[in-house]
Order: sequence, then structure tokens, then C-alpha cells
Amino acid sequence: MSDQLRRKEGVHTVTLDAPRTTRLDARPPFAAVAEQHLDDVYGYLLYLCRNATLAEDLASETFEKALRLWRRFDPLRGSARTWLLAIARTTALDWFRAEERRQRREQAVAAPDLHEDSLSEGLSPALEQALASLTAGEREVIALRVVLELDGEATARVLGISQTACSTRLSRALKRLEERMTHERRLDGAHHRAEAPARPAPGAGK
Amino acid sequence: MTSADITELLRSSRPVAPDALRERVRAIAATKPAPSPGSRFRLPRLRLVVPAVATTALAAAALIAVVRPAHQRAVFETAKQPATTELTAPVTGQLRTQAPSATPKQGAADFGATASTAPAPAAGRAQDYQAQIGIEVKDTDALSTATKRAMTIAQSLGGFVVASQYASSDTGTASITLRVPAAKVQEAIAQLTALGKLTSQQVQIQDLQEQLDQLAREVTVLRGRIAHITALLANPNLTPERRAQLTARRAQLQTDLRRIRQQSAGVSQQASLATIQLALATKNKSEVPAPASRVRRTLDEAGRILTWEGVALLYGLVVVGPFVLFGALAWVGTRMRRRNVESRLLARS
Repeated sequence: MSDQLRRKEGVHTVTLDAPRTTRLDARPPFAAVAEQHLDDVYGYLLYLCRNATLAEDLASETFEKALRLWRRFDPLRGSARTWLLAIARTTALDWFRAEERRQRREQAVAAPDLHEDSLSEGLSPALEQALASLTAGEREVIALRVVLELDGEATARVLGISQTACSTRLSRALKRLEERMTHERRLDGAHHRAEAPARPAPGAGK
Repeated sequence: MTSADITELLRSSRPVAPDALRERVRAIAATKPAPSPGSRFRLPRLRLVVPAVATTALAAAALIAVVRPAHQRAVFETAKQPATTELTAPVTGQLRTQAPSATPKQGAADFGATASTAPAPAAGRAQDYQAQIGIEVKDTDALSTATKRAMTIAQSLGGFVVASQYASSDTGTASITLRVPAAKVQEAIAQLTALGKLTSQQVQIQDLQEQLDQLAREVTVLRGRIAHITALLANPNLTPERRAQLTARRAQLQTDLRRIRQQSAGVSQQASLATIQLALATKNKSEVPAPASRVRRTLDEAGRILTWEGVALLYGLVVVGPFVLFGALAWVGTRMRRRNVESRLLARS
């Protein structure tokens, strides 16, 4: 008996017919996938755009898109996490494009004002600053390969580049990050040394 | 701080989605998805399409190849045509007869009908009758036998062999020119065409009666003039000079008369004998291959059909190719432009 017929006859208890076992039926439910990979998608988007509110909006939009496209997802072609991250990247790039157009239109009226949030509570200010100095492209490869610990193949698939290009991009990003961290530390040390003589010596006034 | 330290630090402080976002996503996942546009129709994957098309092409070729030979046989049988006779020069009585390709037995069987189409020389008229006959025999042994037999036929009918040429290796040819009495030329042709498979026959008849009549009239005139001069010479009152003049004139006319009589006799001799040029040849082995087995024929036919399918595919590619190339270039251009835009967007900090 079909669902339509049951509804017509006032039957509210719906018993599904035995489903045909197909490859697509082997997929987990979308809700479980979304729950499992929400942190990954949000973390990636936060690293990419460095704004928590925007990352939340983009993550929400990503899952809306993913739900619409869920029928097309094929587990044999890649993991759900890779698939979701690819959608998240497309969503973020679309937003960047729209934002760029908007800024061009409104440049004469108002300057862009995008608040930058902390990427994570456990990061030091120096590391936050170093990450902020990287480009969005460098941050996204760090987010995927280092933070989310995706392998090279999955990362390359999300970014739409070859694995070699992905490794090169990661290596450069880490090198720049390291340089920035060294630079920040030197500046910090110099700052401390400059402030030290101005401080009153302990017990000097006594 | 090294890269390893940074990596460790970044991994230890992985961002966590806020509870508000988690609730939003749960709410999204709980809703029924709206069908996305274009989700009903999707292009089949190339890895499935290519084997499917190849399998279909092979299956079609095999199926047609199995069915096709029956049709081909039917077409071949209807393509067989009877002997065609063409009168090419009615003035000179030239007649050409083309014999169909047939087996030796069929050639012998068809011989009667073919020979009956060869025109007979007109009775009571002097005619130059010439016939060219092409005969195909099985092998060199048959060629030798047929050559000897042709000579015997000519002699048995009161004729003779004018010229004969014989050559043989793997394949052989023989060319014989025969003269037979005109009255028995049809009988000769009938016997000669029975030597093997008739491949060609051509008969030319040229009327000689008018020429013969003209010569007879000239003879009559000359004889009259000679008789007149003889009568004049019988007169005893002729001067010696006049007599010598008439005598010389009569001798000249008698010479002309002998020449014309010889000419007339030659024409009569020509009309009395018909010339038959017989060309004998063995079968060309490459022309008649051994009959192939059914499996071989099916495979050949399948190969031929696959070739045609390839030709059709090539034709389609030639026609559609420019459009596909244009589309591919447009796609590559769009992709490159999009990549550039992405790189520019991601180059910001």
C-alpha cells in the first residue's frame, strides 16, 4: 500500500515497503553526517574567513545546500566530510565574490567593516596574529591539512588542485607561519626589553 | 617555534561549533529537502557510457552479420542476368554477344541458346564472316586439350588453322585463328563454345556481294572491249601502225581482265570461309576464392559493419567536432577565469 493511499484512507501509521538495497541506500542519514562533521565544516570556514558569525552563517548555508544535494552524494567517490568541505568552500567563495561586488558598489558610501574573531580559545595572540597575516588560501590549506587532519588526496579534492600543488601550498603556508611567529616573538621580546627600564625597580621607593 | 610545534598547537585547539549553530543545523537536517533543479536528469557517467556504447556497437555488428548473409545471397541471385545481345553496327552486320558469368556446366548448357543468337551468313550472298570467341577452361591441362580440340573441329568441318599461340605457367592462354567454310560457321561456333565456359562472343559480318557484282560487271565490259578489238583486227585493210596499236590495246585489256578475275576469285574465296578467332584462358585463381565458412563470413561481415560504424563515428566527429571543440574551449576558458577569480579572492588575508 503506498503512502498516498494510506493518507487518503486516513491511515496515519506509515509502514514503508521493504526498500530495495542499492548503493545509495548504504549512506548514513543526513542528520548523523551533519552532526558528525559540523565542527569540521565550521572550523574550516572560521579559518577561511576569520569571522565567527560569518562562519556560522556559511556553515548553516553549507548544510542547507548539502541537504538539497544529498541525493547526489556517492560514498564510493569520497567521504562525506570531503564532500561537505567542498560544498563549504564553494559557499564561502560565492560569499567572497558577492562581498567583493558589494564592496565595489558601496566603496564610495561606506568602507568595509568585517570584524575579525579569534580562531580558537587555545591559540596564543602571537599565533592568532601570524595566522591573520596569512592569505585566505594559505589558511584554508592549514585548516584542512593541519587542523582537520585531512590526507593529501582529500585536501586536493576539496581545493580542486593536484596533490603536489597542495603539498607545495601547505609547505609555503607553514614556512610563512613559522617566519611570522619568529618575527612576532622578536618584536615581543624587544617590546619587553624597551618597557623594562621604565618600570620602577621593586622596592626602589622604599 | 618550529612548524611541528605550530602544528601541534593548532591541532590541540581545534575550533568547535557553537551550540546555536548546532541547533540550526539540526533543524535544517530535520526538514525535508526540496528537490534541487536539475536533480531529476543527470548525465550518465562516462565510465558507464563508453562500455555501453561499445557493447551495443559490437552486438549490433554481430547481429547484422548473422542475419545479413541470407539477404546478400538473395541479392546475388537476383543480380544474375541473362545474356545480352547488342547490335552495334547494323550497316556492316556487326553483332556483339556478351555471355554471363556461369559455371562450366552452365556454360555448356547455355551454349545452345547463346549459339542460336549468333547470326548465320545470308544464303546466296557473299559475306565476310568474322567471329571472336572467349572461352575459359579449368586449368592448363584443359587448356591444352581444348586447343587441340579446336584445331580438330576446324579440320573436321573442312577448315584449317591460320595461326595458333599457346602459353602456360600457373595460368595459361591460347589464341587460335581458324578458317571454316561459311556454311558451317554456326556448327563450328557451337562446337567451340562447348570447350569451356563462354566468356565473350563477338560476330562481325561484312557484305561482299556488291563488290563481287561490281567486279563481274567490269569483267563483262572488258570482255566486250576485247571482242570488239578482236573484230577490228580481223579487217585486212588495217595499216600496220593501226594494227600494232589495237594489238597492244587488246593485250592491256586482257591483262586487266586477268587481274579482275583474280580479284573476284579472292573475294569469293574470302566469302566462302569464315574467320574465327578463339581465345582460350584458364581460370584466374585469385578471382575465385574458396568458399569461406559461415563463421568466417560472419566475422568478415561483422568487421565490415564495425568499419562502417567507425566511418559513421568519424563522420559524426567531423560534423560535431568543431562544436565540441568550441564548447571545450569555452569550458576551459570559464574554468580558468573562475580559478583566477578564486586565487584572487583567496590571496587576501
